[in-house]
Amino acid sequence: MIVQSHTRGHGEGLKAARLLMVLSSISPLFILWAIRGNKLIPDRYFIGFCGLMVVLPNVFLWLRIRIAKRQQDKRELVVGKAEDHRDHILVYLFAMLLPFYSEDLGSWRYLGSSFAALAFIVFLFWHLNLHYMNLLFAARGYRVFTVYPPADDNPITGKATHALITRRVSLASGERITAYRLSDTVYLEVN
Amino acid sequence: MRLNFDIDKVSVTEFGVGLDDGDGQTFVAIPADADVQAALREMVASTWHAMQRDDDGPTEYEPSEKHGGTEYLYLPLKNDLAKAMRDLHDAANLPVSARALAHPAVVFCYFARMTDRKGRRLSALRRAAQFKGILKSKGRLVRRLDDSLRSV
Repeated sequence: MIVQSHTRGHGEGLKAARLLMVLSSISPLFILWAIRGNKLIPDRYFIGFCGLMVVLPNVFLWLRIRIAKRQQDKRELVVGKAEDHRDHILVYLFAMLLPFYSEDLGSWRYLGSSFAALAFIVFLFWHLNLHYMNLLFAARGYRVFTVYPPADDNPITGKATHALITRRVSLASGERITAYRLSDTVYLEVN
Repeated sequence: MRLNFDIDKVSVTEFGVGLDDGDGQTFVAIPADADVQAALREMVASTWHAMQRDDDGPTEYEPSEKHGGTEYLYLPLKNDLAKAMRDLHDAANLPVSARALAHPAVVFCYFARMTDRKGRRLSALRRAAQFKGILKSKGRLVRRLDDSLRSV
């Protein structure tokens, strides 16, 4: 009998959920844009659009967490090795939020190019499973750890890494964490 | 035999299937909603209670013996024949696939892994033939918008 870890054809589930979580993670940018305004589009439309881009994805993220709690969609993650990725938030802040905020949105061309660039970023965040990069989590005292599976000789143990959102300051090797599933690779620890 | 696990105080219930597509066997976890999880716990509890009613107690599984369809047997963990079950019980962070039931023909078993509030763990496994029977008799297990399975 050949037993192996399942990797073939294993796509990350909840695609729409992940996309909305990415949009949730860039919602601070829309707050900044709404404050700054735009001379091409009347405030009521532009601020309305920005408001929608802030509220909708975050409502969805809240809904996803609520569904996971209601359905008891949780599992145990075993920590092999864990890395604290607070620096990802800084990279996210300086590499994405600030450059986009300082973009000139004064002409239709600039505005179009900014939205096109933003669409590329959204796609990359979605494709690379970086949808946990969320200032709301950081503001509420959560940290994001990348959890690697234990290096055992069990052929069934999963090989994928997971992002764990937790209030803990550190994770020890061998610890078992019970967490809600936000997507197949992103988990929120049960408090 | 005493079960070192509290079925009434389960904190995590994980459902999954074993797949065999000809290139080898793989095991994946499938997100299941609260009702399916409760049904799995009920199945485990009723199986355990049925085993308790067996007055003769469990006898050791002997591959050379002829066994009936339903029998109360045990297999020591150190036995080589128990390796696959031991690996499944000990496996960490099983991959998750909500689409694993898309091809029922390659499903050869289904399982539940549970953890009680004291951190003790229990694993239960059944052959897929019985699972397919459930699918037929109870209708279907369908995917919700939140991609967890629910029973209908």
